[in-house]
Amino acid sequence: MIQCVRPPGAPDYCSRTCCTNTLKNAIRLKMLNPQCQVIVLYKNIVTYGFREQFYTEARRRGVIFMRYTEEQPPRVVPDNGRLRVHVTDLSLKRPFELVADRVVLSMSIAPAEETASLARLLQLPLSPEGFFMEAHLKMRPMDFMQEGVFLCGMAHYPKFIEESISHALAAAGRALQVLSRETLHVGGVVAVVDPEQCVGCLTCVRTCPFGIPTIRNDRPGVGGLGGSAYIEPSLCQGCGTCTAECPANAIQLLNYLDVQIVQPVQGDWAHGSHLTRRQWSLGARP
Amino acid sequence: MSVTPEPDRDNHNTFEPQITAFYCIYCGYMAADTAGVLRLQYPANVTFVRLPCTGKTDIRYILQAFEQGADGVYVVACPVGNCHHVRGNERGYARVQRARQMLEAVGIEGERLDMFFMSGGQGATFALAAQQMVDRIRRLGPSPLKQPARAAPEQHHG
Repeated sequence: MIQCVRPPGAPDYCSRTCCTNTLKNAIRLKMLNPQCQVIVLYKNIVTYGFREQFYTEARRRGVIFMRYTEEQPPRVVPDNGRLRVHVTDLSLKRPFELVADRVVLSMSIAPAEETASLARLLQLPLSPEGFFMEAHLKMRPMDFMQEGVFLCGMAHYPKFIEESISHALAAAGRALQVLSRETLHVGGVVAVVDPEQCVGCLTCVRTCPFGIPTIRNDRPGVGGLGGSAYIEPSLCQGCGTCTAECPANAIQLLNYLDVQIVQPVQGDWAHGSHLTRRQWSLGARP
Repeated sequence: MSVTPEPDRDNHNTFEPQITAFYCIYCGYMAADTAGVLRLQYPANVTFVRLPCTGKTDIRYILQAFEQGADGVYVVACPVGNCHHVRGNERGYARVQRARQMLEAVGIEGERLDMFFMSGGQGATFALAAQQMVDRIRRLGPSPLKQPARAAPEQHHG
């Protein structure tokens, strides 16, 4: 059994589940036939958590473990219907030739083929290995930064089945948070485009770290021409990057209106800060 | 936590810098909070303006702060790569750099504008940034915009 097999050029990461599976299979073979010789060629045995006990059990049943290095990977050569495995053992520093009836490869778990195109479609971030990337490793492992999209299981990274189940439960819980409500209340700090000033230059579309702004033809821009930008309030994260980048100054961030920020610099909070979000969306300007 | 700054004994002047600081509600605000919890002292010359993210730092805000009498301006952001809005702090930094060029073009020292990156736990860094800016501005003196006598047109006449 050869561990850590990956296609040439594929990114190097631990697939998490293969060591445990190999040990499970090795123990099973030894249970069925104690005479059967099982040799595991590995770089590093990683049996997460209490699965370490499988390693002890496999050794107790006589499974042989041989460590190889990245520089000297095992070579498999066919020989009259059987297979010969050439490997250099790291601790003995000697080449070995093993004759095998079966060679079992532990291939790396790759992201599903469509992952990249789905990520593009939904504008979701991917990890360097090509799996979906969560919003926060510890605080929000089932969320994306994009509101209303959740992830679980192997889409995230290779996982054991029980880990996938817990992850799925967490994601379902998060989805229920949205589905169980009649109406959704979104944060008041959102960017609002004034179509009468927007020339549809796409700066906000390119600037937004979350890809929220879109140009909509049903919202005429400056002078009633072309389309203007639209920022969906339930998706906007309220960082204000677009407001600062907008060349036409057509976007305002509610609760952080220009007048609310510039006036305090002067030491005068009175002017303009009384405008509520509703008044602003109804067209009131200081 | 802040105290009235002591007068500058070295220069025997009574110039008290007016500094405007922009900080984000994540790391900047947390760092300010931590500084308070740790009961750290820093000069009271700094007026803080809260932004949702330093990506919101508009060049206009910086320039208007100078226009309205600030002797120095600085921005406090999350560490690079740790922005809660992915790259807001990097965009903010690019704007600070550009505002600096603009300031230098009109004869205001670029040093009067700076940006600091710190995480929410770094209360001491937050206090140090305030102290550093106050010391620096005290050394540079009042903003050139406040001294019409020393402005560029006079030099042309001379």
